[in-house]
Amino acid sequence: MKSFFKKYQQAKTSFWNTVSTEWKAIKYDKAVISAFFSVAFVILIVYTYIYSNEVIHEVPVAIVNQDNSKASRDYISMLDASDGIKSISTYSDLQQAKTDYFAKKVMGIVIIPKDFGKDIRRGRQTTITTFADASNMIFYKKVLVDVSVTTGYFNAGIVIKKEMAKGNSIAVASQNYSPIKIISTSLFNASSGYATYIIPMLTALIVQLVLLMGIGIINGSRREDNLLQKNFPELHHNGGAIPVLLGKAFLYSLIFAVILPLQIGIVYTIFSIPIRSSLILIYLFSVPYLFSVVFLGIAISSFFKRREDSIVFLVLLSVPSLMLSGLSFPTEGFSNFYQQLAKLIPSTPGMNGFVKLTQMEASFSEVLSEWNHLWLLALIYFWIALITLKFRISSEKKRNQSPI
Amino acid sequence: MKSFLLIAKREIRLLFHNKSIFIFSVVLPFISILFFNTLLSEGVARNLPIAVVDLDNSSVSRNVISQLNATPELEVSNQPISQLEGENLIQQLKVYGLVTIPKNFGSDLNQGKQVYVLNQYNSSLLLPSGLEIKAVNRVIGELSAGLNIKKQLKNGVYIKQAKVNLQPVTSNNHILSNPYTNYSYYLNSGFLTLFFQIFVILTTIYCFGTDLKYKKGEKLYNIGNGNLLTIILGKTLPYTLWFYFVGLVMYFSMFVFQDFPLFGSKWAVLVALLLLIISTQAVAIFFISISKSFRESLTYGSGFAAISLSFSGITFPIFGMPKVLQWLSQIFPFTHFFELFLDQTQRGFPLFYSIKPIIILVLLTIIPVLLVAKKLRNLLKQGSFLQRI
Repeated sequence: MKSFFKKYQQAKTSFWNTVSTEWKAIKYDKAVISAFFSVAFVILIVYTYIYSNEVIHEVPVAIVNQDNSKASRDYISMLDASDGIKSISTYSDLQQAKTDYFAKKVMGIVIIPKDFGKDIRRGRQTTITTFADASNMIFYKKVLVDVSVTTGYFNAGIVIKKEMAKGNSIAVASQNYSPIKIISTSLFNASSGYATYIIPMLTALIVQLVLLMGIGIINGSRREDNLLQKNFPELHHNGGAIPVLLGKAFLYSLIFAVILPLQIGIVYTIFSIPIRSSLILIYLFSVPYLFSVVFLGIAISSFFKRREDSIVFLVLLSVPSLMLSGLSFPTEGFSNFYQQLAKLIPSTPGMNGFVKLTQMEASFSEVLSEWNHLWLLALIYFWIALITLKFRISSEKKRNQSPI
Repeated sequence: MKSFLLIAKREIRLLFHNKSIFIFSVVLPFISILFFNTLLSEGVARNLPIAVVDLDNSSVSRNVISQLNATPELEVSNQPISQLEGENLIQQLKVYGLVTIPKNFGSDLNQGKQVYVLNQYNSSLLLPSGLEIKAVNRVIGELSAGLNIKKQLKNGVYIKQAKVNLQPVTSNNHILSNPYTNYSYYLNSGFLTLFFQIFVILTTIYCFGTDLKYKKGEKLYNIGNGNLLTIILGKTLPYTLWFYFVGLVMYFSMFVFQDFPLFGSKWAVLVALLLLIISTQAVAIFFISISKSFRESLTYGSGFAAISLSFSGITFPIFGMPKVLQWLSQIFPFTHFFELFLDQTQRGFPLFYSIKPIIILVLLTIIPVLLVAKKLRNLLKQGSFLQRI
């Protein structure tokens, strides 16, 4: 019992030692401070600003009107009234429209055929031809969806008028026209805005990037100067690495306890991105996320020789983690190997859980599976970090002892 | 010429001695090419799970479910008993959408009443929700049209006329550039070339940065006889050639292995690759010269390279950005490269329309180097960065 108490006291001292040493290392390293604050805020704000218009409006589309009837002009003005398209109908032939498409003045072409109005009156089917550029999916969807919705309404108008001409009431006419109606509602992100979609994901991703960078820089410079033993003498003890690791995780969690509410509170409010969760739940959810990322960072950073090496994390890990999280492209499209690989990255459950909490109004029980997943990852990376730390301290010791 | 060769030889020697440069220029580019080519090999998302609440349980409603299941995009994975349960499934991200078929759906339909189907989707995930709406709309639209035509046939209308009565105007949609709306063509064009650019910028910063970090700038300056152009070419040209080869492998993976559309001029695509490499190297030199330390130049360089994806307009069109950012996007070489690349591969535009991005890329190569030439000379004379960290 007494030896246990002694061990506890020892662990406690080394825990607080770690916290203060690490804090000093952060405080006096300009690079780390700038990583934590400039990257966490500047990058988030720049990205949010890029996407702040949320959706695109008034995509220019060329209209080649070969008919020039009243019906065709009605159709064009309906198209123009739709939110996404701005119709430019000054083209007399397709060649002219194509030239402007090459010059990127228009993003699509709509051709209204000859005898459009006449055919409609005679009860013959007529066909509108559209060309939409799918090299950018956002333009493509906008053009295609708006043209098909307009055509749908235009059709319904003609048919229902015809029915009513036969003496049917408008209700019966509409019922005859479409027996099954579809009511579509978006549960969250009702306008399908791009910023609302991507910023919560980025917020969670940036946590991982910034932490990995910061830890990499600190550990890299310790390695450059062979300072590990001097900074953390307790690592030599049996089980001495455990309080060191816990102390680091505790400190970084505290730092993010300040950064996270600032990020969400300032950026989300300025760009009016919804926050549908309480801070306490976000904190509770972040604990295993931060822990697992810190341990992962310690484990990986032992591969770096120089402090600069860790900065490349910022760029090299960001896009793959974003893709693998399954939030931008559904995981169903990935092979089994990548689905399993994704589970090893803390940001996968971290981003999913964060999006669920802040955007999808999930209760804590609904993010419980991600939470448990993160604890498991934290545990795994804790062991790996423990092993790499031990390994590094012994190799550093050897290097210091060997006469140069 | 002699000093140029000396520097170039020294650079190649360094490449095999410096582990970081070796990893960035030789190992990681190929890993990234492998990663992106295999990650999205499907290209099109299939069988997205959705939930259907069937409150009717008639043969008609079961038909709706099997029709939904038959679409390539969707798969009915859950049939919760209540809407609340279904909404919870959406919140748990287990399904991408929830379709509710109301009570008396079948019998109302048989009586000729208008019925509705409720589709709830989750736009927190843009891509799958877009596919879900499209697929559900199509299924329900087709069912509804089928019923409309059946009704008309019963009234003695010919099938041809019935179709016209349903749809006086049809639309014939042509998809240009990416005929299968394959997401691999769309995203990988951006990701592969972006990562390629990242490796070029990192390698260039590293090859100058390691010299300057370890105070070898002066030595370099002396070998080059103080001729800045010789030094820059000597240091960068070996990498230009090497990355041109890596870029060809990347092109091979895109256009041969993955069969990306290549409708334009092949020569222009090859020129684009060269311009991307040299303009990126110019940007790297710019960042080295204005930084106080190696670390700072790396931060600028990697940040610049990473954010150029967003500024290229692939994720969100430049057209939709705030005006200031639209102007800002023009200083990123990647934006112009990507425009040139898409115009000459997927869009297949006439070469004439690609002259503008080519000229801009050439300018973006020359201007950054000219801007910092004096600073770089001083930095090399000085031998090292101002700060170590």
